[in-house]
Amino acid sequence: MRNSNILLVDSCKADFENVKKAFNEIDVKFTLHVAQNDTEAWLMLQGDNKISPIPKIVLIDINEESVNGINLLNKIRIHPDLKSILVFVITRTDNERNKAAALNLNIAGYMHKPDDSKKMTDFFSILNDYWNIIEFSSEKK
Amino acid sequence: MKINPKPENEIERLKALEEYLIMDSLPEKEYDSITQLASYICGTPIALVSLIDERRQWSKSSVGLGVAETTRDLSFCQYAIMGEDVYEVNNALENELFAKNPLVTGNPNIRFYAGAPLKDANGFNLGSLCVIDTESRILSIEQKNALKLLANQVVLLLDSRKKNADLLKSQKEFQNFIELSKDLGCIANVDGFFYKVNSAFTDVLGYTKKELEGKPFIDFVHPDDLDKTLKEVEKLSKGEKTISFENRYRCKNGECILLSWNASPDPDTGNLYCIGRDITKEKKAELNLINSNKLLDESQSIAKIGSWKFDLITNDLIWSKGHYQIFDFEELPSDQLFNAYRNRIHPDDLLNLDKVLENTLTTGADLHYNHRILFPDGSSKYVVGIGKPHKNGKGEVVGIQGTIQDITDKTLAEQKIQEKAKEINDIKSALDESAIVAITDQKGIFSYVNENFCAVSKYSKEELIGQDQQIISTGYNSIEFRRDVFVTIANGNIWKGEVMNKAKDGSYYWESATIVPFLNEKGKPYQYVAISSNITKQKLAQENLNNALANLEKKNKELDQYAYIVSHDLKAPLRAINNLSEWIVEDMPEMPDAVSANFELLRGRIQRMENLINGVLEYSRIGRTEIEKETTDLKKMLNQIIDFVVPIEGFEISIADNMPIIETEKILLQQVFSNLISNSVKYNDKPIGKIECLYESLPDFHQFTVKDNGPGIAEEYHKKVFEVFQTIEARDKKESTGIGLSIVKKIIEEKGGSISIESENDNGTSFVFTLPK
Amino acid sequence: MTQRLVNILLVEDDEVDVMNVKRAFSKNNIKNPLYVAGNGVEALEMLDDKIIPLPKIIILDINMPKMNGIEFLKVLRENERLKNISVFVMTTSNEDSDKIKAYNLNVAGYILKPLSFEKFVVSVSTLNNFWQLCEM
Repeated sequence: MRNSNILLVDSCKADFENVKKAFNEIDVKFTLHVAQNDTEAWLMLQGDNKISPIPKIVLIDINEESVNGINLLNKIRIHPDLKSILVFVITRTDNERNKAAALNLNIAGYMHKPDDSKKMTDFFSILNDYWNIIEFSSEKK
Repeated sequence: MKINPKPENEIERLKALEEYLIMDSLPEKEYDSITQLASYICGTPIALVSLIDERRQWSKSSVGLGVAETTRDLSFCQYAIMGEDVYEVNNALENELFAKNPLVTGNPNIRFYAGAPLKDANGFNLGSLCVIDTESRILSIEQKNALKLLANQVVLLLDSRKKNADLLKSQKEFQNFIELSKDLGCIANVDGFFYKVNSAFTDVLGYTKKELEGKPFIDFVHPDDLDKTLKEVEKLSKGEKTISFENRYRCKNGECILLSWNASPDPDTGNLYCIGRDITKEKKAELNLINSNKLLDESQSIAKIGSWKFDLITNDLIWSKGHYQIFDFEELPSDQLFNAYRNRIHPDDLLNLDKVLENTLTTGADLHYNHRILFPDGSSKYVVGIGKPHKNGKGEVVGIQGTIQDITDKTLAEQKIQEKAKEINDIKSALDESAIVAITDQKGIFSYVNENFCAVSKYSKEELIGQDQQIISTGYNSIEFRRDVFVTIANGNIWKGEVMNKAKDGSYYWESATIVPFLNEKGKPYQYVAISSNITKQKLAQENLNNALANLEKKNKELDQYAYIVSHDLKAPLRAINNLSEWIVEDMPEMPDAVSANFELLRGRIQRMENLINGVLEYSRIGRTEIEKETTDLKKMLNQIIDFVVPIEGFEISIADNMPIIETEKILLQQVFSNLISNSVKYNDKPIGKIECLYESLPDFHQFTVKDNGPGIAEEYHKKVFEVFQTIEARDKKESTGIGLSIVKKIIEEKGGSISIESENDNGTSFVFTLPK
Repeated sequence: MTQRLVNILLVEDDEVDVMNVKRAFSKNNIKNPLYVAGNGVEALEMLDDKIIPLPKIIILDINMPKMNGIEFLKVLRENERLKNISVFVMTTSNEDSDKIKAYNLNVAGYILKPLSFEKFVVSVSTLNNFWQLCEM
């Protein structure tokens, strides 16, 4: 995928530093953008700081207090320009309610966040392999 | 002697008598002394100085007779004036002429009479000096002579009296003359004082005689004219007999009047006799005349008018200044003017001018003419003239008077207007010839339609003029469309567009129309001119073309759809065959080498078929999907492609430094370059393959070149290589679908560019393509 | 990581492709119960009539007779009970229009069937790794 973007919504600074590091190590072709909360994320998707082109993939850390992930997901799913985005939810807690809500909103995957940097790299390596075997549309939406 | 005789010169005599003004005058002692002396000398009691007029005898002086007059027919004197000598009647009773005369028969009982005629210097016998007695008697010679001498004395008295009267009369007349004269008369003495002034003098100046007489005349001269006046007067002292000059005098009322003087000195006294005339009005009139002449000249000059007068008797031609100006002549003497005039008239106009002139001379009708003036420098003027003949008492034309006007400017302007009108007319006929033209008023009522309009609408002119243009309108045009047209033109703007109309037979026709509103002074349209061309055929052609294009598009779509479906349907079994072959090999580990080699070949063919199908799909997809443009750094993109398709060993690649960054459908351009570069790699036959990517910026296009040092492509294949499924080498030799260049060409042409090959066999190939900027 | 054996429904009309999946599963040692429906209509019947246990994953072909993959997906997403199932499209169609339609209906992935079985095995392995990461 050329010139494609990924948006990571994560309030934990240490975590997204780890994600960045993992992306570099496994040479992910996507450009990584980070939002610290859902408001910031929304601005990057549909507001003043809009990322162009619109990210094909959004990663949301849903258990963070400051990130109202389900709300963001809801907004993405009902927006005509955003609803086809592939959303992955990454979480550290087992919250069945969040999980059910996210699955109902047709996320591509509900996943446990790895604890350390090494596991993080493995995690994204698998995820990246997956991203590489799936097709994205080249057309504008 | 007959009774009551009359002298031969009686009429003149009576006239002469009258001039003496003696009849009925008062007694004068001079005459009385003479009658007394006569009575004494002749010894008669009665003596008379009697004068005879037409009817009576009147005594100027009498001695011894109370009666002063008697009728002529009874008069004795009437006989005395008939002769030169003394007339004597000695005894009246014995004279048949008087015997019965009452003066004889009755009182005073005359018996004797002797009368000497009073003969004046002119020989007229005015009357007589007579002596009378009541006794008959005879005068002695001496007495007779004395009587004659006394008669002469009476005539002298009469003459002297007459002269006196004449003198008084002429004095009186002269006085009157001076006093009644309207000219100012005065006598000034040597010291320059007024001595006498006449009534006119006082009347004109408003002073009384008293205020003038005894005053120096210089007191009354306008100060500015004093020097001039004194200088003139001085001339007289130098011996000039008369001087004439003008100066201004001050009136009592303060006004100044201009006087013209003639003055002469009396050589004896040195007194100045002066006659002056008030010429104030004349001067003013003269000035006015000069001014009005000047005005006339100027007016003529401004109006480019001239006037003329021709005297047929004297052949004198007179022109006004204006006339000269028009002809650009200096003033000429009358005898030269006529020829000069004729020479300057344009030769082509001379004949006609002579003709109208001849007409005026023979019929006496007014003269109307026009001609051109041809100047020596070749320039010309247009002139129009009118003239009126003068006729004598017999009705013969003796002269003509008239005016001319220079109408060059007007004529040229008219000619220009005519030219323009012709031009406009030409344009109009050209327009009528080529276009459909209609004019409507502001309400849309036809006021003009041309032949083309009638032809296309199938109405006659008569059917259209006065009709609303709705007659040709159709329901095809929407209300919005019609409102748009109306609003545009009603606001004074030109409307252009295509419109469908309906002909009389109900058929429709299309017009490409331009409607031009014509505006009145208020900026509101008062008429609309519509100029159109019939585009029905083009419209139909366009429609057909559109239909054909739509059909073609539909066909193409169907074809693409077909290719898509077929490809998918082909792909599935193909993949199944491939999978099955793989499983067979997998499931039979002990397969003989020949069999497994065949399986390899089988899979190779399956791969080729897959490639072909993918190629067809890709080809059919071009133009079907819309791809977003993005800013693309071509140098970067080419490097990525090269990394991907060019082996590291055996190739030298160069990318031009001027490779630009452009806004484009990146994926498509990537496809193009990938195909071209991978072709260069695939077919290269040199130990070191060289590939160059070049760029040139053309005015409207980007031009890219992919150049290699490969085997080259013979010219006969330059076209063919772009055709679908065309390969130059056998597919077994070089694995190729033959669709790559077709895709390249389709992409480039879809984007409005073009691609060509520059190649000589064995000398490499250059693919040169362009994309619009 | 413990292997959670969620049910998988394969909606595929081509017999060889079904074998393909099964063989790739077996090669990758994937033990999840695999149910097969020949087309969309058949799959819906199976799901509605609860003939099979509710799958967490559906592998869906697009070009199928009767009811194609996209049409099936539309019905699935409108069904409250079925709408949260993860769907992975596995097709030969490389058409953008199909990809857009599929992603608009929130599939978790769109995978092109490779020509060769060997490559397919690799793809299925990757897919299985991803499934292992996910909580279903």
